[in-house]
Order: sequence, then structure tokens, then C-alpha cells
Amino acid sequence: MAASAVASPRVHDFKVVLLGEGCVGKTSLVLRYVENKFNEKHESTLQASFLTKKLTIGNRRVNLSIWDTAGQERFHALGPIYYRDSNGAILTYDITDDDSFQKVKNWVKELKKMLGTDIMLTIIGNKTDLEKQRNVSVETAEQYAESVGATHFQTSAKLNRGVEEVFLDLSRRMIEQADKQDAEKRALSPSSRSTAAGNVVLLEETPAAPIKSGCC
Amino acid sequence: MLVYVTGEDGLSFSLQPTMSNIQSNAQERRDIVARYDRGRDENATIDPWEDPAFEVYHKRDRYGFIHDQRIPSSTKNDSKMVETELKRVHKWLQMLQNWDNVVGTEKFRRRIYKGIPNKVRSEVWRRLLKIEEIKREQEGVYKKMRDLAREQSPEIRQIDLDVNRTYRNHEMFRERYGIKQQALFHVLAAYSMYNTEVGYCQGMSQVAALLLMYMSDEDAFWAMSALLSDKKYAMHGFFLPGFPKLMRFQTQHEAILKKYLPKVKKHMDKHDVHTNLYSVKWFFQCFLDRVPFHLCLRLWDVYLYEGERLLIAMAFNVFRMHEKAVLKLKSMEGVVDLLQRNLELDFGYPDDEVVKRLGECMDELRRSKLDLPTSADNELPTKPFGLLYNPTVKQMRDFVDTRPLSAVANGRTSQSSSDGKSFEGLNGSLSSPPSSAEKDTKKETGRISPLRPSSRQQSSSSPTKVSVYENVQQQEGAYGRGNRVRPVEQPPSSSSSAAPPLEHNIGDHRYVSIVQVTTEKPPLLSSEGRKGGRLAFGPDTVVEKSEMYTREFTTSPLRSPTVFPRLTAAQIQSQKQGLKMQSDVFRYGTSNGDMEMKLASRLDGVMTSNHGGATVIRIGTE
Repeated sequence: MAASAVASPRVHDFKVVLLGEGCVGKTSLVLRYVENKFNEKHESTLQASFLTKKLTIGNRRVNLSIWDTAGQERFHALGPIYYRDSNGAILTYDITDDDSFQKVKNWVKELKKMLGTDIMLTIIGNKTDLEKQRNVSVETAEQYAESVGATHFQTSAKLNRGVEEVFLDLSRRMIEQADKQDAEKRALSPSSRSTAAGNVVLLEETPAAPIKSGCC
Repeated sequence: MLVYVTGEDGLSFSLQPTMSNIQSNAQERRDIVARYDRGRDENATIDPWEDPAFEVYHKRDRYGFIHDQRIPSSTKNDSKMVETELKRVHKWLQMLQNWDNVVGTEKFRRRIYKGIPNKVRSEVWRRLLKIEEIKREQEGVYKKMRDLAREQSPEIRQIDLDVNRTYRNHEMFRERYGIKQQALFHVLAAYSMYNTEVGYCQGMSQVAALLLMYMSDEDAFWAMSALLSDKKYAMHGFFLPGFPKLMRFQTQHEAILKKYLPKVKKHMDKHDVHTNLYSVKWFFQCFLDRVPFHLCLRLWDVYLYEGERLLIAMAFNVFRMHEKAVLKLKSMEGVVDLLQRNLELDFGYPDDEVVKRLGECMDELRRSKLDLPTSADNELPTKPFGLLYNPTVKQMRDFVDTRPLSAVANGRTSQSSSDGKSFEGLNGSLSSPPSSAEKDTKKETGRISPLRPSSRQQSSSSPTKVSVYENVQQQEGAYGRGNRVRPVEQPPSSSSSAAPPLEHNIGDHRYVSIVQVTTEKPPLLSSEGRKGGRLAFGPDTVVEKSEMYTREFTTSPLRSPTVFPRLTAAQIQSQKQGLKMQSDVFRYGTSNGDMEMKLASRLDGVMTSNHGGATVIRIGTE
């Protein structure tokens, strides 16, 4: 590829944390995304665990480590261990359960408070396979997401709908954020500009069409 | 060949078998023998269950877990293990008969470490947890809690979610709503009512399920109770919100690594492997799901015998046995994978060796006095168990007002009528269900179970047991009444105090009440939270809750059953001072040996007053 000759591809290591109420489908989303599996009968997550996924966006290589956490309210006490240093957070609710959507709002507040704008937020309404039992309207959720600067997606881990897009979008935004932070750094230290500038700068808007992702 | 046949008439005669008879008999025999010689005919039609290839036979292990793949046919080693176990069963049966004499002996300890044979595991675990004793003492309580939970448990939803995903790979729990799932559900729900401080915490479902593999639901309930509240195990502190004991054990574990395995500790630090990434299930569930199940049973054998020091020792042992493997892994991912996943698939050592070396770790830690972290008081239960409902302030007042205790104590009021009436008075005004602010699960609107005379009759029918208390705690009725709250930027904190117990007798029933006044900083709460909002608080705001616990005993003297810690006399004494401070809310007197309780000032709605600069808001409902 010609482009990669211009800018040596940089590998991003991103940490993403999944938060949300119990049984909204956090584990299922990761499993679907990373291993393309769906297990109706999995265990509840008590001990947070993580899975990794490699993907390529444009000429950027991204290593995602995706942290899956316990959902029960009292485990929020352990939350900071997992979201600290995260580049992105996926806040999940169950479209059939309004309470779980309210929980997302709590998480957003906490993350904003603890991490400011450094962390990219994605809100997802999972279980669209249960559309008939929907209790959270798309408009409400989208409006809310917009108001807090998050993107909003609807997914069904069970039917494998929309899962891939969530992680792609989040990865793109995390790359942008990383670029922005790099740029800020360079602006602050002129010395590094001369050496690093050519390599990493503002490649492009992320290309719309040829997005490859896959586990390598 | 001669066959003698005795006829009815008593005459004997001989029968000469015919040649054909002899031949056909012989043929039959030969055929039979030949069939065995030949073995199975591949072409014969058989029922599925007759087919050893029938998959379930190959996927179910000896503990009832159903596997995706066939289990490799048993090796020589396996059958030897089973044989040894069988030999041991006999010894264990003898020990069971002579339990009290044997239980503290070195021989007993040794045999525990060798592994309790699976056949007697159920009984030995029950003995170690003293289930029969508790059950006798607390007869009927499980059923009561179970019934109550159906109406009231605020944890039902989470429990349901988790029952649906607890050991579904085990034959007992595979069937949705099957008998053992019902049992698991009831045990957890009942316990959530019984121990309201813990309620239900994820992780408990696995523990309960393990217990249910070895005992009935009632026994499993009391086993849970022992595991949480007996000091030997004190899992209460693990599951309590904030997980105080988890933190304490993690710190201890890190100190041990630092001292004995400094290379490992450095390595873990370098790769950011926080203790929390691997130790939650080790400690919360005593290694369930983190080591192979057969090994885990061995650990549980030792755990039930040794208590919580097993957790510390085994955590140490894991690293000691896998030091090289850990050091080889150069990423957090690798280490976490090993500890969270791979060791469960294969621990890499025979169980006997693991347990042997575990014993060595334990001895070593004991010698250096690192086998247990320093104890902490804030992890033990403080509230009495098994209380039945939460009255409002007004109800508490009515309770006192309508029942002059002096009269009751002197027996001037007859048992049935006065009780029924006064307690019904209590219930009569219970218009809204008690909504506990800590419990944020979906509200179970249910009738509140009153202290009914029937429960008393039930208990008096067997006067030896100490049981059945009803009652009483906390009023937070103002929550959820449309009062919207400004969030307070402060972490919640609380303190509590209790008055000396109030005691009085009615007939052969003794009532012991403790009033506990809790003040707490309101937690950070959004007004949109499902809790329905709280009152507006300034930064100095303190919310005060008064909780009264009353227990009814059918026998005096009052005694503390072993696994039912209540506030001890010393605790009460030490907290008495705190209560005095709040004497404008409650006053206690003991004139004439009777207790009186007065609530100062207004009771309805919300009251505020000043307390050393802080605003005290008392919440109560009419």
C-alpha cells in the first residue's frame, strides 16, 4: 500500500472497559465480538476478565484489550481499578429495561468526573432481538448520548447485529483522540516535533470504505 | 441325569429327562456363553440408553458436570484413586460414629488433608458446619425466611438472573426451573431476607450451588449462614458492600508474596497485574471456578476444617507452585489468563500434591504469623438475623404507646389478645411497604408479614427451641415520596449506636428489643436514580435512622446461639454513649425495671434539628 509508505503504521494499544448493570449482555457482547460466539448459558461475571482483539483501521493497527466487569451494583466499588487508564468505555443497557439505562447515566457521570474527556464513551442498547419488549426509546437514548458526547448504538449480541460497528467506531474515535493528544504534546515540546512530526500526523479522516478488521 | 420331583402326595418319583431336553438345555447354555465370548454385536438393534456411546455417559463426570467433550476413559490412576477413596470411606464411617472424640485429633486433620471421600463428604461437611445443631436451634426459620422472601426480598431479580447462569453445566442445575434451581433460588432468596446487611451478592450463588450438590436446601441455607457469620469463615465481610474483607485479604496476600516470592511480586507489579484481577473468586468462592472442580472439593474440605486461613495459604501456594510459569509470562494478559482460566482447566499437579504443599504453606505462614491478616471488627454482622419487617417511626411509637410494658411484663395482659392486638396495631398502619434505600432492586411490593399470634403458637408448641422473632427495623418511608434531592458531593459514611436491649416477658415468651440509631451521610445520589430520590441535603447533612429489633424467644434464659451474633453487651455498652448524644430523639429509661421509649418532638414527615453544627434530618412516615 502506498499510504503506509508515507506514514509508518503505528500500533495503538487501547484499553476498553465494559460497564453496565447486571445481565444487560456485557460478556455476550465481548464474546460475540472477539470470538463470534453466543452462549445462552454463560456464567455471571464476578471477577472482571478481559479479551483482546487486533484490528486494522486504515493503516492503523489497533490492539484492543476489552475489560468485562461485574454488573451487580455493589461491584461498582471495584470499578475504578478497571476504568482507570481506559481509552474507551462501552456503557451498556438492556433496551427492555429502563433501570439499566438509568444506570448508564450514573456511569457516565462517574467516568466524566474521574476521567474528564480523555475517555471516549459509547452507549449501547443491547438485546434488540427483544424489540417487542422495548422499554427505552431510541430517541431518548440517542438524545442522551449526544448530550454527553457519546455515540449510541443498538446491538444484539445474540443475533450478531451491530456489534462490530460499536468497536470500530470506538476504535476510530480513540485513534483520533490519541492523535489529538500527540499533537498537543508536540505543540508543547518543539524538539520532538522535528523528529516525530512526519510520522504520525493527521493522516486523514478515517477512510470510509475499506475498513478491515479481523483477528490476526 | 436324574431329577427328583416331590409330588403333592409326598411320593417321590424319578423323571428321566428326554434326550431332546438335554440337548436343548445344553444348546441354550452354549449360546449364552458364546454371546459373552463374542461380545457386542455391532448390528444388533438396541435402545439408546443401552449404548455406551450414548453421549451423556461420556460427558458427565463423577461430580455431575456435563462436559462438551467426551471425558477420556478412566486411566489406571483414576481407578486407583477411586479404590483408595473406597477404602477410606470405611474409616470415615467409623469416625462419624465417634465424631466428638475424633474431630480435634491430629489423625482427623491428616485425613481431612487426604481428602474426604466423596461418598461421605455431604455428611462430614454438615458436621463441620454444625448444621444439625443450628437447625435444631432455629427450627422453622428457613421456611419462614423462604416464604417471606417470596413476598418481600428486594434481591429477587438479581438472584433470578444468577440462578439462570449458575453451574448450568451441572446436571442438577441444567434444567431451567428444575428442582435444584428451585432450591438454589429459595436458599439465596431466604438468605437475602435473613441477613439483610449482605442481602445477596454475586458469588454467593456459586457457593450455594456447591452446597446444594451435597445437601438439601434447608441444610444449604444453614451452611451459607455458618459460612457467612461463623468467625471461622466470616464470608460476611467479603460479600458486604464495599468488600472490606477482600481488601484486607488482598493486602495480606501481597505482603506474603513480597516476603516469600519477591521476584513474582515484582513481576506482577511490572506488568500491572493488580491482585484484584485474579483474587476475587479465590476469596469469594474459595477457588470455585479457578481450579479444577475435583481439586476445589479438596480445598473446600480443608477450608471447612481450617477456616479462612486456607484462602491465604492457597493463594500463596498457587504462586509458589506456579512461580516459574508466572515469571515466564511477559504480559498482564498472559498472567491473568493463567490464573483466571488455564489453572482451572489443568492445575498441572496431582491434587494430592497440591494439598500436601498447601499444608506446608499453611505451616510456614503460621510460623511466621502471616497465616491470617489482623482481624477487623467492621466485617462481622451487626444486625440481628432473621428480622421480619420494618416499621415506621410512628409504628414504633404506637408499639410503645399501646403496650405499657410494665403491664405486659407483669402479666396483666393476656398473651394472645394483647399480642394480637398490639402487633396488629403495628401492622395496621403499615400502609406503604418498607423501601430500603440501600436496596436498589426492583421493589417487591408485598404485604408485610406481621407478627402473628400464629407464629407464636407454632413456636410454643415446642418449647425447647429458641426461635422466631419478628420484626422491626428502620423507617425510610419518606424516600420515594416525591422528595427530590440535590446530590451531595460526599462519600457516604455512617455510624450507629444502640441502646441496651429492652427485655420483657409475655407468658413464656421473652422479647428482646434493641434500638439502633444510625446516622449516615447521604450517599451521592442522582435525583433520577431508581431509588426515587432523597431529601435535599446540605454538605453537613446527616440522616438518622432509628431501627428497632425485637426478637421473640420461646424460652428464657436468653442465650446467643453460636452463629447468631447479636450486639453483645459490650458492644451495646460502648455504643450507649452515642445514643445519649441523640437523646432528643429517643430516651430510654429503666425506672421500675420497665423500659420506656419516647420519641421527642414531631414524628410525622421529616424533622430537622441541629446537632453540633450538622443538620440532622430524621425521616419517618406517618
